[in-house]
Amino acid sequence: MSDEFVPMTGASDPTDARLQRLIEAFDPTNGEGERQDVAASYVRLAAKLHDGEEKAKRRNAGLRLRTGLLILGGMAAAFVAIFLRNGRTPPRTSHIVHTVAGQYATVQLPDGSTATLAPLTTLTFSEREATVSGEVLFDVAPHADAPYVVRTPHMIVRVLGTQFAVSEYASATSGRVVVAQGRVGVRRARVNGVTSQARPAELVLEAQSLAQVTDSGVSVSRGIAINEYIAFAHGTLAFNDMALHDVVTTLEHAYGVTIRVDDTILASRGVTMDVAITKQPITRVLDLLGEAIGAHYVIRRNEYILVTGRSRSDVPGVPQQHDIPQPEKLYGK
Amino acid sequence: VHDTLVDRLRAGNATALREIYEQYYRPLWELAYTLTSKDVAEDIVHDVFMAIWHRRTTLVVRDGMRAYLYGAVRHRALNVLRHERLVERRNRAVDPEVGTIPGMGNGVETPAQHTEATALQEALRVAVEALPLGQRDAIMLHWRHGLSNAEIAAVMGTTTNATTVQIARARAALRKSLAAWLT
Repeated sequence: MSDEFVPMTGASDPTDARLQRLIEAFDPTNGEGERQDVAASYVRLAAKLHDGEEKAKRRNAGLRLRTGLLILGGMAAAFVAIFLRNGRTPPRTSHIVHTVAGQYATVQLPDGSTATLAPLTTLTFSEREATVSGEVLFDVAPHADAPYVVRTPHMIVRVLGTQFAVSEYASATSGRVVVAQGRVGVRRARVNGVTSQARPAELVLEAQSLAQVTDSGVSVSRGIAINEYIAFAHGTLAFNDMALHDVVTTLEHAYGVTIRVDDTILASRGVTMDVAITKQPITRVLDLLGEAIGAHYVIRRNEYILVTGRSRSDVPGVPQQHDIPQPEKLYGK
Repeated sequence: VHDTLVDRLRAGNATALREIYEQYYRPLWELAYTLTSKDVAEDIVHDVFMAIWHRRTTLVVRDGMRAYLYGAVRHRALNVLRHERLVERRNRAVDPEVGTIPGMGNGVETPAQHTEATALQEALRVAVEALPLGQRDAIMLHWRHGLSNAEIAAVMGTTTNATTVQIARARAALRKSLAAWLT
């Protein structure tokens, strides 16, 4: 052993040891990394994965095969419970519930509240706190001391015991909250696209009101008919003079099918009708819809296409619509 | 532990994906952040996890989960850099005119209310950013993230010997530039 031997690692040299400690403690993000919300980030990842799988399924599978698979997938993905390790706060249990196209689910939350999920929705929840991507109707059990908090990318909604619906699908430019009973407070989660560190002012919403939340502000409509926004939780869809293209999107989610409207004039026509999701197959709904707006549907390459006019016999090569088997609906638990 | 996690991931277990995500999200986000920007750091980590999930059945993790994830994030971040030409922005950030080490005479005046801690943080930032990319990543992965030389070699696609040399060079450069803080 020679005295000139200099070890390669820094530990035995006091200056290197000091340097090592400095680098270990050096946070190049200036604390941004520490402030990252891992759970919220995972929800965003889950939503992306979910969207990707939806697109792949739409591309690959036939209509009949696809709807069958979606429901199976939904059951398999149903409940995932994990422990959150979260630096300073004590460990708590967090759950994720996922619905696929055509699937509705009602979940009992740990504090006695219930949540009803519309299709293509991800709900993450722990004690008195939930994150939503999609659309959920909450029926919150009152707890004077601990408000219930629901987050979406655009909104933070605070509740003291009420019934209200939150809607914000992935990549939406705004979030929507509708209050059926009681009162809730809503504020922006982001200001000009950036997650807000400060707390923007909270707006209080009374029953029968609706708030639309974007990056730039909150717009409120009070004293409105809110039934159409919460009807999905009771197995119906209520459309009240809604543009056909929005109706079609809702039906696609509800039934897990693809519906096209190529005629833009037809697509902008207002629709007023109620649909019993659990009782009426999509073909029956499209028949009724066609009667209401003077259109009919044809089936091409596993898509339903809405076309102006009442007659069907003039389209050659169209199979009998009612021969398409309908998947059994999954509703509730 | 990691082998069974990878096995569960291969079997399509989403909880395994979540466990890996929760364990590694913050350090991976930090790595992506230092290579690109705050705006895209999360997307880069998401891209890596989406790719892992899509290819889970054929996933091969040769040098351990940690080296695999760091390597994938670094690769993805460098691609983003190339595509978005963020390289230019980063070069401007290390322009010696913009920020120099406090106490070295020619720097921007440190405001009186700055504590010693923020001055040290600033000095570290300038010193680390002044390192060549390879040296900087090697020393940060080694000391800040606790990766072994072999893991760093796997992450950066070099050999263990090359990594050892880069770490030694980075250490020598930092000892020089941070001399005022090391006495």
